[in-house]
Amino acid sequence: MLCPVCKCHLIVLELDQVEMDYCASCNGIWLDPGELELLLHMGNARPGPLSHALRTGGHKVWGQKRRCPVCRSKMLQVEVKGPPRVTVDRCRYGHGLWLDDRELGQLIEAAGGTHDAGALGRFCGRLFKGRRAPAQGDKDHVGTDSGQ
Amino acid sequence: MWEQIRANKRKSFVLIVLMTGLLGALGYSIGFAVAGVHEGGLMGVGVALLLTAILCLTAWTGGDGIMLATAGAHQIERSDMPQLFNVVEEMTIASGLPKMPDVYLIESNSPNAFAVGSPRRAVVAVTTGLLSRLNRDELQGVIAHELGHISNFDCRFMVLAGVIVGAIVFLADAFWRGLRYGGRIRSRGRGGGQAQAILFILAIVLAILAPIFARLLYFACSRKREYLADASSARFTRYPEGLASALEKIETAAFGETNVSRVVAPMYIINPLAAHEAFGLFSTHPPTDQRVRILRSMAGGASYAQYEAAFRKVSGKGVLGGTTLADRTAVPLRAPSAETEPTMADRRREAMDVLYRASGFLVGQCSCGTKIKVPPTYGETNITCPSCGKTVTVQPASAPAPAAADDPPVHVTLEPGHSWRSVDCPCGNSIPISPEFAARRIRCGKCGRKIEIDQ
Repeated sequence: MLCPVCKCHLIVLELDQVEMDYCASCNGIWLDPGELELLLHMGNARPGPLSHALRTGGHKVWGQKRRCPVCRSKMLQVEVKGPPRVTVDRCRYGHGLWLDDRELGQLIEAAGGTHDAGALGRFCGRLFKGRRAPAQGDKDHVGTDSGQ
Repeated sequence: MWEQIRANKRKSFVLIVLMTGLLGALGYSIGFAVAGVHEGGLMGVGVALLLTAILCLTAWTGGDGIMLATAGAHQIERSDMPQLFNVVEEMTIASGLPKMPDVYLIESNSPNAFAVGSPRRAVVAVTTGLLSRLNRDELQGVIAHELGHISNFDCRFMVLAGVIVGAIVFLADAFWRGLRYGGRIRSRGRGGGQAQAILFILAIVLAILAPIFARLLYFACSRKREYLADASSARFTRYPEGLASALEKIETAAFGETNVSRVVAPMYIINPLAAHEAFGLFSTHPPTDQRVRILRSMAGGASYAQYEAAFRKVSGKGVLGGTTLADRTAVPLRAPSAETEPTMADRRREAMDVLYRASGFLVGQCSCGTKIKVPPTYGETNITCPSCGKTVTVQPASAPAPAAADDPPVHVTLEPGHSWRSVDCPCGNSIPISPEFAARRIRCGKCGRKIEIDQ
């Protein structure tokens, strides 16, 4: 699969049997509905705003350049309400969600809630534990900071 | 069983003849209406039959391949997924098919399965979503349903019927477009004006009705075949609850997924595109809750007669033909299997890893616990772990415990006793041994190793 932003190959990261597609150059992640479901299933979490966003809603954006890595159709933008409040890109055919570096950072920061953004955020927090908080985070920093 | 298949073939033949007749009539009336002479009508029939012949030929020679390619299926081997192969093998024996079908895996989170081909050259395809959600009993029910389709010659028939329906729809559509864009149709016949006018109207009527009719016919027999395949599944597995709970799981998860090809959709065990459509004359599949209720109300056995009785109880009428019910063999129900089940995550990882291996991914394990999988086109083999920043070297993934089919057998001593015991294979798999077990050799379902048992 190719990254919707920088068009380079995505790599797959697996932690505790859950997978995530990750772009090593722009630090965005691609969220597969199957993996999200697995994550919720394992953590006994209830589907929240993010998994809802995966299926419904979203609007076309003028000048949208990001295409779904699975079906190459232009993605829709969805506003995910509830903590954290982010705008993510969604494949209109339900292939998945794209969270870029900033959105992922917000998600990780907001982790700790009872929503599935929380379950996902906690997971991403563990997966990218070397990451700094997004407010001061610059893109080059991720990956060079070795976590303990 | 054989009686049933023969009856099925006879009925299919009648249906195909009916549909071909409809096709011919449509061809003739369009031809006559356009040309205005009898020869024109004959030519119309010729064109219609030629079109069908071409479509049939394509479907016969490459249809399975096209179908699997549309669905994005990869063929998998026994060493990839031994448990799935075991289930398919068991059900092949139970259904009496002459040859075990090829097994394909589709990457899709929507849980579904379909079968194509005839008993001698069949294919069963399952999705990764199906494998990750269903336990062994449920998977067995689904596979048995698909093999039921194959042994009842449904796949062959549905492809042929689908082709004829396609030809009828195509002809009617071409006629409509011709009317709309082709301008007025002039009468060329001498004095044939009136006959032409009548046939013209007939052609319009047929062009409207034939596609509807053909689809109705197609869908009606598609639904009936689904019930028959459900009945076969109950009989092959002797455990109708497996299929019933699988259908429920599939239904709750399948809807909402729209990334399914329209062509392949009716072939699946539950039509994933029919999410918000009400059940009606145009459905290819019967309503799922009814299928589940019928399977659950089968009491006292798993034979066709019991399925028929359950069907009568639920819907008030019969579904299976008299010849099927003449088969009075008693099929007792069995208890659910007592094996400990791998978790959903285990099953999903196993299925996905097969696909990664098939597409040549490189794999590396970082000491922080993160596993990194890289597509073969990525170019680099030294990856900085995004989690901890260490450098990880990725290499081609190897199949787990390569099938040691020709390795010398391993000797295992079985402790004496009259209860269930287990034998440990060197690959880590534990094989349960029933109290009645008397053979000297078994084969590990996970790695394929031969194990000799000293009792």
